[in-house]
Amino acid sequence: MNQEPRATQFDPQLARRVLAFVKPYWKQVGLALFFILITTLAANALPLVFKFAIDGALAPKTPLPVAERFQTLAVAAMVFVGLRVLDFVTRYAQTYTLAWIGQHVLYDLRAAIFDKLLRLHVGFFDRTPAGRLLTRLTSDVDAIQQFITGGLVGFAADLFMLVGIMAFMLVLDWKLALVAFAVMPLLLLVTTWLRIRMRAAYREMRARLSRMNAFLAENLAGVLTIQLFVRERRQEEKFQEKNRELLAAYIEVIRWFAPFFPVVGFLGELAVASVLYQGGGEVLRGAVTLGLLVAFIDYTRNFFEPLRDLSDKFNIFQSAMAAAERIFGLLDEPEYVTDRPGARPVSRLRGEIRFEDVWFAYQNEEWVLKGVNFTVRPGEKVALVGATGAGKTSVISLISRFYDVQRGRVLIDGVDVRDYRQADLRRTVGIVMQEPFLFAASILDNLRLGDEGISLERIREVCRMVGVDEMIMKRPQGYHTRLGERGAGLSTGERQLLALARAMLHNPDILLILDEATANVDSETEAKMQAALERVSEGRTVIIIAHRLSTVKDVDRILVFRRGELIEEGDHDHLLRQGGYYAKLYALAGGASLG
Amino acid sequence: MRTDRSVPPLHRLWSFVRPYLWKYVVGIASGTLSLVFSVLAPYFLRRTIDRIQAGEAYLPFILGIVAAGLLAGLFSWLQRWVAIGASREVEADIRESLFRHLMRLDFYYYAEKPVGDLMNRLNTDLQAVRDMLGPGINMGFRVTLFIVFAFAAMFLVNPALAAAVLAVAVPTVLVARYLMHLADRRWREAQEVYDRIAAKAEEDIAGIRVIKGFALEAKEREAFVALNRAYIEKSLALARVEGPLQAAMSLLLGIAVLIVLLKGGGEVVAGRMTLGEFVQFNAYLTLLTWPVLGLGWVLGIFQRGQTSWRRLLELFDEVPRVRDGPETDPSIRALSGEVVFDRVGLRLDERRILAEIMLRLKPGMTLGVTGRTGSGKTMLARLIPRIIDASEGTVYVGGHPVRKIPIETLRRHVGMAPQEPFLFSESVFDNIAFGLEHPDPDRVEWAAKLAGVHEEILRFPKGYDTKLGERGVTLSGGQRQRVALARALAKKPEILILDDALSAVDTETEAKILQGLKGVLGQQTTLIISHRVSALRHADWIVVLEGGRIVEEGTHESLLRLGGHYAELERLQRLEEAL
Repeated sequence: MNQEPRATQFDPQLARRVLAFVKPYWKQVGLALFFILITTLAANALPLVFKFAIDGALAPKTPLPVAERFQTLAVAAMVFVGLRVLDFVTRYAQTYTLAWIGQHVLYDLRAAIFDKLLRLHVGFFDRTPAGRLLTRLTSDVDAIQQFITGGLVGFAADLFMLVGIMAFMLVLDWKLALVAFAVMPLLLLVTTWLRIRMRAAYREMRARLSRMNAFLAENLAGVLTIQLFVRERRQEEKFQEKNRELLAAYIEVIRWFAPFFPVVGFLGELAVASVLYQGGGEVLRGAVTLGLLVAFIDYTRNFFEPLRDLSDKFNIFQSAMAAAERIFGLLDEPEYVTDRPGARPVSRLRGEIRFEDVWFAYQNEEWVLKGVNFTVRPGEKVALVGATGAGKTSVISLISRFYDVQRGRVLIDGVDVRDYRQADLRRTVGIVMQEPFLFAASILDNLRLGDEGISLERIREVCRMVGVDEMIMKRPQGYHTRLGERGAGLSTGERQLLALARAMLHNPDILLILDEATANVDSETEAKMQAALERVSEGRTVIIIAHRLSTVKDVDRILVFRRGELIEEGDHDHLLRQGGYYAKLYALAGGASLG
Repeated sequence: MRTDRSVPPLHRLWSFVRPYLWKYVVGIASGTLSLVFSVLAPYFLRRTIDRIQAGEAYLPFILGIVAAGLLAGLFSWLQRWVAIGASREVEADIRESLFRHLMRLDFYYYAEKPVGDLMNRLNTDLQAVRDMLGPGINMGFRVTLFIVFAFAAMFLVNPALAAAVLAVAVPTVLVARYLMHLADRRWREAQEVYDRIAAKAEEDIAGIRVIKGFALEAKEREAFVALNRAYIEKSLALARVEGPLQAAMSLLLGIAVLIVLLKGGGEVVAGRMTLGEFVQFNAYLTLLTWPVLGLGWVLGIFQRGQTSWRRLLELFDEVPRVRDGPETDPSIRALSGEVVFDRVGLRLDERRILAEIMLRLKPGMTLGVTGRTGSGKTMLARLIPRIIDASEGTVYVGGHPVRKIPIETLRRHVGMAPQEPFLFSESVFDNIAFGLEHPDPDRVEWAAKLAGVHEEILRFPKGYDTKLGERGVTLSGGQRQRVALARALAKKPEILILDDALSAVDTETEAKILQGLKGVLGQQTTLIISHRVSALRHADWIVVLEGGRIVEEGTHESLLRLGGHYAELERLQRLEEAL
């Protein structure tokens, strides 16, 4: 996935994909366009009311009775009110419909991205910073919404208005209309020129801003180094330099930005003046009425607004294109671990695990497991032992099918894990992580994980068994204690015990895998953990990544890994007698800890 | 900037604005002129219409319109150029002074503040302040003055009609204000849900293994979608207010137009008002639409700007705990390498880190420090260059208590190489010369050779000019450590601290580097913190820390004889080598 977007130009294929998200709402889009059309008509009819009032009441060409003139004025006022109300209603309906469409597209896009994230395999998350994924869901989606409501439909609205005004003017008096339009080429020329300059200046400004921000971030991160080397003053000078460069870029932007609206305003006045000049003569000759002239001045003024907005829309298009490219980049990310068609549902497992010549690498050919073979019998308790990087964690990940093997097979109850439905497999395979992840929710919610069918009694029972109930009940709010982000507020040991309880509650049947690293746990918690392990292992297959001797002594069998290979297996005494790698590890540990 | 909490926040902003005061004055003056001309244009329009109606020559007034438009445009241009530019200059000054301040905040501050948060604050808050000083002041001024001018002009034409329009305009502003307020509140409500969506996504991404491990995908999706649904509701609630805002404004102004049409029209029919005046009135009403809306917008900018400014002031008001104070003696310029810890203790957040440390290092002596992770070794080293200050007892350097030595002087005499060094995304050369007043290629090369990294640097694409970091070469852990060591050595410090500084380098290379250091320098006091006996064994004195206390000390041989922690460490490392 690319951080830097390449698409800054309009890309029809990308636009089509974005539009596919709008398609389900084509009826609403049609409705919005309808409202826009009515608004255009209503807004353009207003000057005609004035024409009608002026010609019929305020300045009639032929003398009329005063009563009739007042009557005309009253009619004009009523029509005016009617048009205004219509304008209000359709304008309101238009804005609301647009917001509705935008929000629903947004919703669909977010759901699509979120679904995609849930389907992607764990390896993807190892490689991709969370912040980047979050940006896809937030600011990138927002940019698309801008594109649809502000850009696409706003574009249509401006276009309608522009065409509407031009049509009204041409129909009313094409000669006068052409006089009003005479300024247009000049306006387009000047604004396009200013805009090009502005865009170039703006781009330079963005580049300098990001340079300054990078410098700032780096200096804040390395502030202690700067202080230790007494570099504060020189870093300040450098910062000043970057800051001044940025300022110069800002000033350059302002240079082109400052004249923009004044120029547009002046050209507007110029157009009004030309219409007045030409129209005035025609009024004097009796070719047009005074009312028409006044109406024309209104049209000329209105004419400039959509013209000015229209070019603004292109900026929105550009940033939306970049966002769309990033979003679809994520949506197109290949999913490596997927359910096969007709994958096998399963609710209970006996718990036999077999690795058949398993080769596995996280990337390329950097093998983490090299031809591993072993079988764990149902109900057996096995420990994995080895140095860091020997491949123990990978074994565990493969059983849960967080990754797929490159060669060989992982079988559970004689069936390849790739033939099970992922959800079923993982529901029956419980896992406790090295660094257990808890949600920012209550302890209860963390244990239940949304399954309201689990009673509090059952929860407490399991917690008592694991030995964490007492710790929970000591807190004023007991099981309703809210945890902070990632379980903040608990010690590592407590988190591990909770994670163990959680696994027990949800996968009580078949197989429990513990990835246990208790380096940061005090001895009391360690003892608790030990006792808990003892109790939970009854009647199920258990695989433990063991670091401590006490664990290892208790298991039925030990598998010793070294650099991705299974080099020794047997129980503790047997392995010690063998006098191999395990025996050395044991001696090195000095009876304290392993690997 | 001196910090003084008794000064009100906006006064402190004033000190930044003052240097550019003349620009603001010029800006505001030209803004006023521009407005005068804008208000004049409808007047010429009226005269033109009246002339046309009377069948008289109208060209001079049309030229008047063009001239007024031109002058209004020119002055408005000048205003925008000068005043918006000024706000950027003020922003740059504030940013600079913030940076200077941030460079002086200490370890205690940065230990608690994630850089991301700080960056966020600097960017968003500074932008809000700038918006207040630039567009805020400009627009606020323009909008207010325009309303005043337009009404003044209307009153001049026809007081009764103007009063009627004013009667409508006042409630219009109030309604606009109310709707904006409501929109603001709903926007915040929507934003809260939005934040929860982001938080949910963030948590789920972080906890993806748990979600997959417990097959929670469907449930999480449901929860996520529910939040999104709530967001749609909140957003549409916002749209229901925002939608009518603009529409309602034009409707309310429509009432004013209606009054002009009916009442003003009546006056025209009755012959008490000319058609030109009628058109002039309408022109003002059209021109007023934007200022009435803009007024609310400007108020919002000012509100946000002030909140942000207050937050920036909080940052300005952070005072570093480690700094030169009244007890600092500026006459101390040179220091010997003598380091003494006299009953030194350290607490951080009520946690005891070090206790009862008694050490005396004569100049040129090498001290080895070892102990488990968390035993306080790094903190012990940090006391010497005053990254932190002792809570109890005194640290002496060169015979002076460290608090008396000017911090700059102290730090110039200490070179430190940490386990996880921070290198800058500059060239290798600049990184090694980081502590030098005048970059000296010979010195840099000498230091790199000593640190055992010179030959590797020569193999980089551009040698010493190779850029490091994101856009340059990525160094291995061991290379980073050695570049950082070279950086510390280049200073030729009186006191050299190696805080596990070669942990990513293999034992053999480490031994060679340490041997080299002894041979060439020899005269500097050296503190070596390490887990490796091989790095410690040649030290003149070795201390073992546990729980912040010195539990064993002596020479390599005497500690081995003692048979305590150090001897155990040595035994394990021997075994490991054998394995």
